Amino acid sequence: MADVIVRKKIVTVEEIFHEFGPKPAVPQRRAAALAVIHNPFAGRYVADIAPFMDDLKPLGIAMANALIAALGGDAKAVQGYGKGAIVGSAGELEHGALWHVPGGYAMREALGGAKAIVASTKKVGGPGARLDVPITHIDASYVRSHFDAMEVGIADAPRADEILLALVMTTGARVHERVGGLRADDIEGKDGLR
Amino acid sequence: MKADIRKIVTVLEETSRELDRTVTPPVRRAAAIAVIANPFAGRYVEDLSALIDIGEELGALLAERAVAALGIAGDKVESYGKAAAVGENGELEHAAAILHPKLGAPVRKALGKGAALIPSSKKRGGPGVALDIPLGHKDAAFVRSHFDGMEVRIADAPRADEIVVAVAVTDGGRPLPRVGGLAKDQIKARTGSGDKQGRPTFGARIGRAGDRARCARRALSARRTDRFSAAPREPASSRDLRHRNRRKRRRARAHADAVGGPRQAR
Repeated sequence: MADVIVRKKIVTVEEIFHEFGPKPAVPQRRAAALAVIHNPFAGRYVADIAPFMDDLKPLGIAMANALIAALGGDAKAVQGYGKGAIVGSAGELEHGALWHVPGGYAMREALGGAKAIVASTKKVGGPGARLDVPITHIDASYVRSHFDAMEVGIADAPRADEILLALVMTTGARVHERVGGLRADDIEGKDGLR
Repeated sequence: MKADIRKIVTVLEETSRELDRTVTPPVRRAAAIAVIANPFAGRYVEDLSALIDIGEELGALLAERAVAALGIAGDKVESYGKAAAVGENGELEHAAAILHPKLGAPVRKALGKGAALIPSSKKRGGPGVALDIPLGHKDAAFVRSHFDGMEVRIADAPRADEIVVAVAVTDGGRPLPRVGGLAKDQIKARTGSGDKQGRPTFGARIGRAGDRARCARRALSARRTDRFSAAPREPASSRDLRHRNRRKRRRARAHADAVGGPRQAR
C-alpha cells in the first residue's frame, strides 16, 4: 500500500454556446477533473505496481463526483466520458496505466452503471504537457455524435516524480454534430458498443 | 452591443502541497474565461466604445462565475486579476478597451469591495495561447504574499476574429509565502496601496514637507529591512535621515571635486 499524496486538484468546466453555426437550445458542457499526485515508483523499476490501483480508487470516486457536481449535480445529464494520464519524466508509461481501473470504474459507478468502455490516452511528459483526452458516449462506444476530445494540462505539472490524472465528462454531442453514424437514440444497449 | 459569446470556461485550482510541505488550508484560485467575437477584427476602428461596454458586461458575468467556482462569498475573495488575448486579426488596443475602462467596477461590485487596482495582462495570439493572469490583493496592492499569477488557456481560442477575456479570483496568496513585505493582516487602510497615507507608489510627488520626510524615512526603512525578511518594517529614525543626508552631501562634494564644479550640496 502506498499513500496517494495529492499536490493539486483542478476542475475545469467549458460551456459551449456555438461554433459559428446555429445555437443549440441547451449549450454543450464539458468538464475535466485533474489531480496531481506523487508517483511512488518514480526513478526506478518496480515490478509489482498493480496494488496501487486499489489505493487510487477513493481519488477516482472523488474526482468522478466532483465532475458530476461541476456539471450541475445530475448524473443523468452526463452523456460522454474519457480519461487520461501524464506521467512525469522520472516515471514509466506503465504507471499511467494504473489509472484505467480506478478512474474508469469510478466514473461508471458514479453514472449508475454506464456500459461503454471509457476512452483513454496517456503519455510521459513534463510540466505544462498537454493531453487530448478522448471522449465517447457512456453507453455505446459507436455513437458518432459524441466522439469528442478535451485538451487538458497544468503549467507546473507533472514534475518528474508526479503523475497527472484526468477524468472528463460531457453533457452532450459536439455542438454542431452532423456527420451521421449511430444516433444516441438508437443505442441497442447490449454490449456497450452499439 | 451585447457580447457574442462562443464559449465560457471556468477553472478551479486547489493546491494542497508544495514539495514536501502541506499547504493548510489549501489555496484555491478560480478563473472564468469567455471567448467572444471581436466586432472590430480586420479593420481599424477609431471608436472602441462597443468593446468598452462589452468589458462591463463581461466584468459582471466573469466575476460572478469565478466567485461561484471558488464557492465562497464575494467579500471573502482575497486577490484578483484580469487578462485578455486578442486573435490575430485584432488589435492590442481591443484588449485594452475591454479590460481597462469599465470591466473593473462590476468585478468590485461582485466582491463587495476592492480598493486596489486589478492587475492585468494582454497579448495577441492564436488558438491555445497561454494567458498569465497577474494576481494581486484586492484591498492593498502592496501585500507581497499575494503577488501571484495563474496560467489559463483554451485549446481552440482565440480564433483570428475572437478575443479571450479572463477574470481570476483567489481565497489566498502563494502556497508558502516567505519573502516578507506587507502582510494581509498589516493592511492599515483600504486605500488600495495598503498604508495609512494611501501611498500611491514609490517616487510619487508628495507636496508637504512633513510628507516628504515621512516618505524619505519610509524609503529608508524599506531599503533596510526589505531583504527577504519577514520581520515588520521598523520606521527609520530622524538620525537615519541625518546620516543619509550627510552621505548625500559627501557624495555631492566628491562629485563636484571630480568634475571641477562648485562644492555645493544639492
